[in-house]
Amino acid sequence: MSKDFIYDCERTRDLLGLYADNELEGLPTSQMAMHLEQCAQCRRELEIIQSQKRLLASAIKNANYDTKTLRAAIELATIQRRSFLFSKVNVPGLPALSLAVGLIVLIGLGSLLYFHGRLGTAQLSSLYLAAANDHRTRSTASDAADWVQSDSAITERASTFLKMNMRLPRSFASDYSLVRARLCQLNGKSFLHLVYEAPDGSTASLFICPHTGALPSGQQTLTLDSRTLELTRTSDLSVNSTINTDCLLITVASDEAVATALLLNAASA
Amino acid sequence: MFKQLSRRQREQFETQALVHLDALLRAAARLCNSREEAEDAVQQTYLQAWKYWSTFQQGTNCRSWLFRILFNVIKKGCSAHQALSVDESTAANILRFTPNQQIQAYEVMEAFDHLEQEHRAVLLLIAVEEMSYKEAAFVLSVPVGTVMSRLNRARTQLRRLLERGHGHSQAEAIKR
Repeated sequence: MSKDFIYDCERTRDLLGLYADNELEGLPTSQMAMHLEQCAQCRRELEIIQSQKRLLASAIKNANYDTKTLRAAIELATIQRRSFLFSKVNVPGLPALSLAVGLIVLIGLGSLLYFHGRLGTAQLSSLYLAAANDHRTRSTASDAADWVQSDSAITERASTFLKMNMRLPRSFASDYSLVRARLCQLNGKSFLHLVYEAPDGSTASLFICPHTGALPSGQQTLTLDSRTLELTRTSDLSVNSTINTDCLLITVASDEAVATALLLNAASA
Repeated sequence: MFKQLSRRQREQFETQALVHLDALLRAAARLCNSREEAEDAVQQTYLQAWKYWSTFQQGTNCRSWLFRILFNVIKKGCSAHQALSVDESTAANILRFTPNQQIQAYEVMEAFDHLEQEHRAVLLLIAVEEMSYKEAAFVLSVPVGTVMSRLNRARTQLRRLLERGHGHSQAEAIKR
């Protein structure tokens, strides 16, 4: 084997990866091809790279993941957002007629419920008022000692308290992110309180506790995808709730679309 | 607070961005600690993409753009894992191979999962997603030279692990 040939082997080995990935252009490619024709050892090296590449690609690329639930959650948070019942109404292009019809239906429904005595705060579960009050007084007090703020500490606190593996939404509605968590008492019942913050300083709360009883009544009941939601409006806050895998979920935010989006996100997690 | 995109932009998001969901999830599944963490990362990626969709230049490479967001999300949120066993979906796929290929695929996958996260990332982009070095450099936010050196190290490391017999137990289980 000549000295030149050894040098060619070294140079070839340096460039084999590029050659296998079709990233070599021009003269080096033809020189490599010529060398590979003559040198069985370099051909073997190339085959190893190509075979690893093929195996990795076919083992990973054809793995069939069930993405149905994930896709539904993403679509709900993105392209389907506008069709959601509580979306903001000043959406460009939303037909005026459907707006008017929607408003009439909502006013009619509201009046009906009011005259049947369901709308007054007197009949509202005190749990929701306690959640609203806790959100109002505690969610922005970020420096209080009982908060945990790191991702791992929040996950640990959640799994210790809930005694089950429940996925917590890390973010929702594009700009709300989970920032802290604590344990709290609402009407003598222990809850995990999670706070989400948007860049503009708005906050939303998610309260979770293990729960096997009935869903406490709110002012309005809504069924969405076979899931029952209880919706409540206090003077300045929306409090929504549902039950998911033996857990009671309550969300609180000043914007009712935010409270409902967080609730749906948590329920589908 | 909520992005209000036009009907056309929504349609574009559905046809250009959501079609890459499977690719993003399979990449995230090989880089995160668990399937749940991977799904969270993908969901966050789409929420970020939705937020900035009006700034995305139509006609440019949406797949690379999404992968770039995903890799940033993973870098910030997922702790780098080592030695994750071959997950159910990948295992089910490998079972479709011929017996000899099954053994080889298990060995390669086990060795792959022992690589450092940055080495797995570059191999995923080049070998699995068939991206060019330039595209991978954009996704990873590094120069092309860094992609080349990482890829070289990843391949060397993968080979070393295979020579040391990683994945041997899985392969033996299949043989039996």
